[in-house]
Amino acid sequence: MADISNLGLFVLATSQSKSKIYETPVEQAQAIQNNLSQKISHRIEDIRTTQRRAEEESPAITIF
Amino acid sequence: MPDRLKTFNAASLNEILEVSYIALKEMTARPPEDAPATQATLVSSCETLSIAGSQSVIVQKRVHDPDYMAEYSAYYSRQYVDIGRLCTRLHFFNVKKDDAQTDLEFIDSMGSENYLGFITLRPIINCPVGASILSKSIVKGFIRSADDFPVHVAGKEFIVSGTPFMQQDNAVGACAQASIWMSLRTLRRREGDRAHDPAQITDAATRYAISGRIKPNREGLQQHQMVEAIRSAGYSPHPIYVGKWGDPNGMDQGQANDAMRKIHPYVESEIPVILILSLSPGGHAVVAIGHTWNSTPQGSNLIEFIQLGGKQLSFVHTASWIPELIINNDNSGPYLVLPFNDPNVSYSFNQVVSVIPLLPSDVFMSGEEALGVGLELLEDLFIGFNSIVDVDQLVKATSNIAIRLLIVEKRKLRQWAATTEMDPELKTRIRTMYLPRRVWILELHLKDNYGSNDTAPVASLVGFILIDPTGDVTTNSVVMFYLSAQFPPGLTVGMMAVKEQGLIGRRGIQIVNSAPLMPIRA
Repeated sequence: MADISNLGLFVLATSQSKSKIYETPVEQAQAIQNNLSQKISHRIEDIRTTQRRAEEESPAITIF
Repeated sequence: MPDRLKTFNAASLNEILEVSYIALKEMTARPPEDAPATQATLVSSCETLSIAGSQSVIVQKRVHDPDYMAEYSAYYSRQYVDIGRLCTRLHFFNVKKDDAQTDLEFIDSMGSENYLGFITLRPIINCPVGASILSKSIVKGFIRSADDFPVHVAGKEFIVSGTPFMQQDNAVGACAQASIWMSLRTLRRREGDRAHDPAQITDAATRYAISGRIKPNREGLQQHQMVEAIRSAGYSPHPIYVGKWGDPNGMDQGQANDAMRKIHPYVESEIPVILILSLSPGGHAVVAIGHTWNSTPQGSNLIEFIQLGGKQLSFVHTASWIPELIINNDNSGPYLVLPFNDPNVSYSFNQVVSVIPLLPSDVFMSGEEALGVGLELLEDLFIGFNSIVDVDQLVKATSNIAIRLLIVEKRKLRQWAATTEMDPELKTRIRTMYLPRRVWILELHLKDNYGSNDTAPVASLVGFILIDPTGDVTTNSVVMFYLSAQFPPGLTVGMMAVKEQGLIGRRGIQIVNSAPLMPIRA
């Protein structure tokens, strides 16, 4: 499991490690993080776009 | 004893109403028949108390109620006819007064465990129920949005744990203002004494956008005015749109499931959520403060989160165990069940079109965004697990997991770790690590255990992700995550990962004792 490219592999490596603490090199951890950040950004932008559209389409109704 | 305080034994609805109507008539010189349409709230409140076992009522006259005084100052003091400026308060107890006891002896013999709360009667026959708090113990279900309030009667202090309630007084405000008042007053002590009276709410709502007369405010408010009133009290109102205005059929089951998934994290976070319902004509506002519970639901509210090998992996959302929300409805009473779709009642969940949770001002990340962060992290985990675990096993494992999202204050999270049996390494880390004031926590529960949480907390928690709600919604927002050996398949021991050097995938720590944990909030 030398090439750890996602958090799943990192978790498995930790679980299977002979020592209690498992560390990935900083560069590898940074690559995992960057990859995940991109996916999160896309999902969040979808959520915000939907929210903006709903706000634009909502009529001004009186609540009484 | 002067009759400012007098105790009556009253257990049935009629007995309680009789006491209430006599007190009301003394203040208003008008019988309730003068305004039958507006007595529903009082009747509903008294009925709830009667069913809960109320046995006696202390009638406390000449009460300076600050919220009514503000209404009086803003409006009633300017009327030509005499309108009273003092209220009468009814205090309810689950014990009868003995004939041999004086009123004070009875009060002194009572404890908070006997106290069921109070109703403040305004001297206004059209809208008699002013600022009131009934104990949340008088209803079934989970009242999430509540607080402990001290109440003083003749030198004796009682604590009532409940959610403030008020009927709209449409001289100074409509349901919109009443729902904001109930929400702000619930949060007042928890979030630092920011609460406005109904007149102040109307002033704040109409500061920048006016659509009609302010006083009397019989026309109500528009949503953007409500948002401004909440914002001006120091909160971060977050409108979420879930339905369509004017749709005669309302939401179908799929849309309602989606709406419940969006509302659920805020209700579980003990945050009042204002629900805007589409009626004909106009809209109506109520406050969601809790939920009922069904330990054996027929169907599941699923969250589909990734496809692997052409197969869909889904978690069960913990909203599946919630058949109805519990609401405070200024038109009809406190602690009422909001059915999904009942043609025999005026208000149903499928009429909801938008919701406004009152987020604390330091919560920048919404529940939808926090869920998005958590699900992406879980997807990344499962892509890795798929390298050694068969897809069918992963599909089965996720279907056995129920997920719940909620905001927890740091002090409560640490308190939970300090008092809950767990691996010492995990306990130490949660109690001592650097944390923001609150965190979003995405919990992973064993589905089969979670449903039993209605009677007593059950050990069901097998994983969680802590997310910084002040974060910029990237992976940097993940503060830590924990997975027990119970979930997912492929782990020989449990593990946790804590952000090191700004990276969540830098250091993993094995957690040997990873039995399911008791939930942070049952």
